[in-house]
Amino acid sequence: MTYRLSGIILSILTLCTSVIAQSDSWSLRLKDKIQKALSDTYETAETIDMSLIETDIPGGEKRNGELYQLNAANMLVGYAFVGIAPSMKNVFDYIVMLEPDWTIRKCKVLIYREQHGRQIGSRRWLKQFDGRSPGQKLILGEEIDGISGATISTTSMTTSVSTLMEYLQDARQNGQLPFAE
Amino acid sequence: MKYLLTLISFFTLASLFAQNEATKKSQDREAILAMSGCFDVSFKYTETFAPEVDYEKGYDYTSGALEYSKVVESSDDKIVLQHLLVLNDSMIIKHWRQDWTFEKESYHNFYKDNVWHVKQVDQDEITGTWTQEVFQVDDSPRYSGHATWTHVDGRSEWYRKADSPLPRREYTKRDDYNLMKRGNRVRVIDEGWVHEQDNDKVIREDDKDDVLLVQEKGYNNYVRKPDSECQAAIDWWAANHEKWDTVREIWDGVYASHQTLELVNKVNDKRLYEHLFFNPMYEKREAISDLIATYIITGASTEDIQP
Repeated sequence: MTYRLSGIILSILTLCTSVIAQSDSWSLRLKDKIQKALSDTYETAETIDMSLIETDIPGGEKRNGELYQLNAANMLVGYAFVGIAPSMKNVFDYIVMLEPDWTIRKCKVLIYREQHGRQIGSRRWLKQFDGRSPGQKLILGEEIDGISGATISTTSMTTSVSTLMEYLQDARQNGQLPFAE
Repeated sequence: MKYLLTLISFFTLASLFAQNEATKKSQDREAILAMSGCFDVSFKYTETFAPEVDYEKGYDYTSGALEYSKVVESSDDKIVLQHLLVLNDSMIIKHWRQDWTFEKESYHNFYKDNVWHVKQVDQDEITGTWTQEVFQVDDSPRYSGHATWTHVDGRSEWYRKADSPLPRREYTKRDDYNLMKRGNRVRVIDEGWVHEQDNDKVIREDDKDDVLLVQEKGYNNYVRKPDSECQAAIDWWAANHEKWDTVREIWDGVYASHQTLELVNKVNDKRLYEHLFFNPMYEKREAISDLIATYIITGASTEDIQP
């Protein structure tokens, strides 16, 4: 019952436009990278439609993003959070791709705008986020190992993902998102 | 008297210069021929740097084999080395081939997507160079380049960056790039020789700048073994070389008659080597010639490919 009710709320909140990349602020390069990340991660030949879910995830000018429901051939395949976070002198774009049960399937850094700290794009580091669930607080140096020479960016990415996971837990408790019991 | 001295000096210098050139060329030939024989080979490749942060590096590739490199032709200006793989001591697979030609004026250069164009080498950059042409297992083209051999500190080296198709190890597995810019460094050492590579995996489209996907480091180490360990390959070549001499001659005719060469991947759902390796129909010149013609798209005709 809770699941169904949450689904209805989600449907109301979801802007059901069938688009490949939603945000007007995304460059063509970023849209391409998002689509590639989604198709590689969800391993589907179908086009993955992204429908915006309105949220109030805390953020600011240099740390924010949007949450999407992902459908392929009208079937729910998961969710994705596309965000920006600060690096040393700029911001980087990243995506957190989630399972239908909201655990993290995969994270990727999509665009990084400076030479320092590019190591955060490595799969070896990012896979530490795989399988993390809503409510899990993530701290660099504890749950997530750092990378020497990329302290600012690794801290930033960890903070962003941790904030998202905390938000999802709150949304679960408030019935704002469809969580299976 | 003064004129006589000048003349003597001139001829002495000219003679010394010619002698140096001959010595250098002889050293070059010696280095190329040092790649022949029986070798224990290890292949190692790893992707290194990618310009895009979201690129996920491929797995490392490692492999090994026993390989025999047979001198098929050796003249003053040309050396042909045919490589043969020895599997389980007795199974032989015809492998790649490398032709080395002194001061070659033109050769087929890979463009992309199974297309090769003839590259004309400028006269001012041809002197003293050797062109390495590398061929597939079926003697169709792969990549080529020309450069000068150097001989210092007991090592002989040759380096050239060459546009090439995808390597065999990725040919059927990758479609996210269509050109490998191979940084080919051949280094002859006491223990054998090393084929060291600094490769760029590149996306090439017509009328656009090449886009680098990722770089790659590769080492093919050839450690010399006694020829007796490759006896099976020596015997195999003795029994089979006539067919492959014919294949090579037919391809030579193709190269001579095509400024641009475009090949199809498969005919009757098979690659060329599958027909040549496994189908007993293709033993005689006419049948082989007709078969090769079916793989040529650009301006192909039977008349074109007579050797």
